[in-house]
Amino acid sequence: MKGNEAIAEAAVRAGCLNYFAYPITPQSEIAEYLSWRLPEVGGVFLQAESEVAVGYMIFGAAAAGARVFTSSSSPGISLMSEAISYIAAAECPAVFVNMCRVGPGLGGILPSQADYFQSVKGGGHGDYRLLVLAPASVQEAVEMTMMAFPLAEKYRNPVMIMGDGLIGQMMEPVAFPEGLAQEPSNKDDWATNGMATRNSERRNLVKTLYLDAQEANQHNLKLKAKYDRMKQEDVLFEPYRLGGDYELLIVSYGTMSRVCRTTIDNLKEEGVEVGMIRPRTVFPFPEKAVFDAASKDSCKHVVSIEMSMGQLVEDVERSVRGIRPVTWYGKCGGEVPTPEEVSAFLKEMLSERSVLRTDLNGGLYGQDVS
Amino acid sequence: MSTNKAHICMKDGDGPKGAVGSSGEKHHPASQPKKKRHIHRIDSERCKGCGLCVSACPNQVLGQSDHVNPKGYYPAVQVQPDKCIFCALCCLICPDVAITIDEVASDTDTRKT
Repeated sequence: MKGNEAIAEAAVRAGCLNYFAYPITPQSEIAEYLSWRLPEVGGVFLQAESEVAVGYMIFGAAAAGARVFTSSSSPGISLMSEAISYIAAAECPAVFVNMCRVGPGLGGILPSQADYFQSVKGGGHGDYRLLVLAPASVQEAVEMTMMAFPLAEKYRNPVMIMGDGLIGQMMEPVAFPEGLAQEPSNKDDWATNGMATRNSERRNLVKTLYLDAQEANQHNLKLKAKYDRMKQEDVLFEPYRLGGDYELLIVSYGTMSRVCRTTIDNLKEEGVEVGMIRPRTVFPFPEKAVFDAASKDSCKHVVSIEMSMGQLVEDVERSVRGIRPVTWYGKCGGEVPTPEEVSAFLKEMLSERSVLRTDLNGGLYGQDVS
Repeated sequence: MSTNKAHICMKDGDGPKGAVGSSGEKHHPASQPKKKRHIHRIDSERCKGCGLCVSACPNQVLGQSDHVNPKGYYPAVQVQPDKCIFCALCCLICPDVAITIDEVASDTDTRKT
């Protein structure tokens, strides 16, 4: 199946029957698919007048206790960001799929990972976080979509699936694991689902306004505790070739990690040992795993390889905590680096490594070591 | 990753892209009336410009259009129709089933298809 269509079907099988969206390349197939699929299963498909409207439709449905999701691509997510901040503040579970395309501005429609900061560090205002899942294959996109709804309900927080145009447009065989579908949680304690529905005399209120400073601080502390809990309980990553000794450690996610995997296999044949950590959740970031892998005696250098201009590298540097030099390599604009290009960069870097190691602060960005 | 390779093929490959734009008005020589022509019908609304067909074609018949489709992709176009050998590899490899080839007599006016 095509990545976008597989995500759409996965959402239906995960029990999400509400989808509101506005079309944008490269994810429009999700809307196209659900426009006929949701009526088949008694769900609601609605094309909104804009992404801003979508954001608040999602807020409304989530506040009323329904499972709901939407999908968009970078500029659309920017427009929804205000609502995402509100949804996080109001502690409503919802799922957002972002098939990242080239930015900034309208940019282009080809694959990119330049929305890393937007997804991981916020995008909307205020102290909030999204739980961000980053699939590297169509199968994983399916599984993450199915996992996303229970995770959103577990934390009462929006979950984002951060793919890219390539994951959305690519076709791969998929299976829909039935075990991943979970019944919606009981939301009677907080959702505005109707007093008669929940057979209660108590009024539920979903709000984001806290004018009292102390109360607002308490609310933010409550949110922080939730994000700290995510860091304890739901960090996902995949180690690759970390069993033996390796000279280089790559950190890469999503589409880019697939290219790195090929690069690592090719380099192994040439006798260069490289390991990789692929974050599957980019928030919470696998800080400890990256630090532990970088701490290994054989590891001399860490490289962040991404389809963005130095975003993931900041979290890698933060996790490595200065014990190893960290270098960035990436391409943007829809160009996906080839295994040959990555391999050439790594080899050149290895030959210059002795120079880099003496220049921990100034030489972090690869070629600027002169 | 084959999709990726296809993109590279489109951008750095030798040939097809350079020929784009010169094909539309090409008329088959009237001196070969019995020869079959092969007209690619490419559903440009479904084409995502992955270029797999461009890389699969043994004769560089297909290239990338210089116009974007409604979704913003540069769809495949027939740039050297005379070279088509009707092997249909492009049809087979197209993940979005967006290519069909019509075999027609060379004097058939295909502009209305």
